[in-house]
Parts: sequence; C-alpha cells; structure tokens
Amino acid sequence: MFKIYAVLSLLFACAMTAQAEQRVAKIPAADFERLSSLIKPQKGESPWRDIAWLTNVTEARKKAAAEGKPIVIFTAADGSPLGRT
Amino acid sequence: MTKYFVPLAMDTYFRGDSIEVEFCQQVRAGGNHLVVATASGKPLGEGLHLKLRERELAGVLDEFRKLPAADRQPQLVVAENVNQPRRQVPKPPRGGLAVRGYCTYLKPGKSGEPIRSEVYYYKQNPDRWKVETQSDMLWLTDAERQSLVPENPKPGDTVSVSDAIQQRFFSTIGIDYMEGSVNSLPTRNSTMTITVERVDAKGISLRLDGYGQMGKPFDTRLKGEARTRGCDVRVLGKLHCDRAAKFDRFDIVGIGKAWGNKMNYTRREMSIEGYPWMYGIACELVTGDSPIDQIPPYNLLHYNGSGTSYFSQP
Repeated sequence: MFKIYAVLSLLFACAMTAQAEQRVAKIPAADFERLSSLIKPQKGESPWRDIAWLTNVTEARKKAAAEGKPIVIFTAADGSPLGRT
Repeated sequence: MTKYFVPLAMDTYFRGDSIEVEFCQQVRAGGNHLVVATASGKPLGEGLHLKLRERELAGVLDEFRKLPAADRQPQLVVAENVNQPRRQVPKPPRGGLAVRGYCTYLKPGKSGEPIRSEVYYYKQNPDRWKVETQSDMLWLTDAERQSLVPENPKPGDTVSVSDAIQQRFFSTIGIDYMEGSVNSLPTRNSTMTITVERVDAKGISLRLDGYGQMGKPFDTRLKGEARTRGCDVRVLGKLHCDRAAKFDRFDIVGIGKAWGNKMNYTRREMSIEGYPWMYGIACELVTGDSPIDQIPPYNLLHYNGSGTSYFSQP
C-alpha cells in the first residue's frame, strides 16, 4: 500500500511539474528591436489611430458648432473604440 | 478627417452627464457602428451603413452642407439641472505610470523566428478583413512606479516586481486579447525581475525579465470546451529612468502561446494557425496627454468601474 501511495505521489509531482513547464523559449536580446517593430501596429495598418479624436461629447459639440462641421461619432460595443475593439 | 469633421471617439460606458447621454440617444450613438450628426443633435446619413471611408462620408458631408445655418452652426444652450455622470471617467493615477500595450498574432518563420501571422475575420467570406493589432493600457500608481527601481542603484542590483504589478500586467496585457472583449485571466504562476544594467549621468538603464502563466493549464482534450482559455508569455524589457524613477523608456516585448476558448465562445470568428497558437505583445511608455493617451485600461471597467480592484493588492 505504501509503495502504491509513493508511486502515485511521484506521478502527481511529475504532472504538476509538467503543468508548470515553461512553453516559451528565452527571447534573444539581439532580437528585441526587431520584435518590438514587428508586434506594434504596422505602417498604414490602422489609419483611424492617427486621427486626432476627441473623447468628450460636449467638447465635440462646441467645436463642431464653432467650426460649422458635422461630428463623426465612433463607438464600440465594449468600452472605448480607441482601446480594444 | 479633421478638415471636414469633428471626430469623437466615445466610450460606451462613459457617455457623460445627462445632457450628453440625451444627445447620444437622440443621434443613436453607441454600440458597434458609426454615426454622423450635427452639433444640434440631428443625425445624418440615416439608413446608411456608415464606415470611416471617404465614399460613405462624402455623401453625409453633402447632406450637412445643405442644412440651414441653424443646424450647421447652432447656438448651443447651456442647460440647467444637469445630472452628473453615474461614473466619472477614470484618470491615470497622479504621478503614476501609463503604458500602452499592443498584441498581435505571430507564427514561426522559415528559420523558426517569430513573424507576423496574417489572420482574417471570416476567412471564407469574400468581404473578409484583416485582423488589426490590438491595443490596451496599463496603469501603475506613483508608489508602484517607484518600487520598480532599487534605492541607490548600481549595476547588478535586482528588484523582484511586486505581486500586484505582476498580476495586473500578466492577467490583462500579457494575455492574447486579439478578440477585443476578452476578460482578464488569473495568473497561475509568474516571475518578473528588474536588473540594473548601467548607472550614469543620463540615468539608470534597466532590464526586465519575466514569465507568466495565466488562465487554464494547457489540455488538448478541452479544445472544444468553453472557458478554457490559457496562455504562457515570456517578456523582455528595456527601461530607462532618472534617479527619481521617472521613466523615459518602458519598452517591453513578449512572445506567448495561447489555447482554449474565451468565455462561452467556442466558435472563433478567425481561424488561427497552430494549437497552441503564438502571439506577441509589446509595450511602450505613454508620454502625451491627448485624449487617446488618457483612455483607461479595458479591465478597469470590468472591476466594478471604481478602479479599486484594478489597483488592489493580492
């Protein structure tokens, strides 16, 4: 019985170790700048990010009234469209 | 855009005071669509499926120009008896640190090095469109910012980043959030260390190393099950600050592997190569004070809106 318990404990420990196993290799320091440029938005990918958005309704209405322009209202279902969309 | 329009990006959860909410309701602003309206509250382009493209907005602009002056340049009335917003828009912590994060899909290149993976929404659809790099924010308090730099730093000194910061970083902007509305994933295990590399007249150069394991452990048997999202991410960072821990560089890159399904969504809108699939994150310091630099982190909304849980200590 003790042997069975010991084997089971060993198997459990191995399983826990496997769970904690790190799946992602080290990032070479020499690849840092390339990865940074690679992951960030690419040129021309999201032109809407370059627009000078206002985020306050009253401010937008005052500006539109003063300058005689319509307001383009950009919204998302979950939070700010300037964040996760 | 700004030559002909006033662009307003509105957070659905923070539409403003009662007058501002009334305006939004009047022009039917909110949700996943675009609305164009006059400052007086008259919607334009009704019935049209407007997009941020010249061909749709040109017609709306023509419609606007035909309106009487009272609609094009209205005298806005200062309203009385305005009810203040139920929730104020959270502001970045005074003296704290604001970091912008990015997330995108990656895949192994010919030599195994990570490259961008081109992924489409609704791949089989002729009108498919490319998935864009996602973006989110991370806020640290003044005290947390200062905790990142050792006192009297010298090369080789290390700081173990606090559990609160690790939890917030890994569980929010360390995960794959390419699907946008993705809940944070609890951190199962994590390490994050900052090492002083150089101290000179220009300041303190620091290296950040970290690894996080979030959400559910990897299990291929759960591939088609709900609420099985999990991921691992390794991060490397190059930071720079002055003696007062005021940062002028906060660049981080991360490579991650993700698996499972977010929440109850077992059918994905985009098909991704590999299982687990590879993703990348990158971070940079927010230095400006424009409206886009002030938007709160996504997960700040999902912690009862007050921000108390977002900054809480584990």
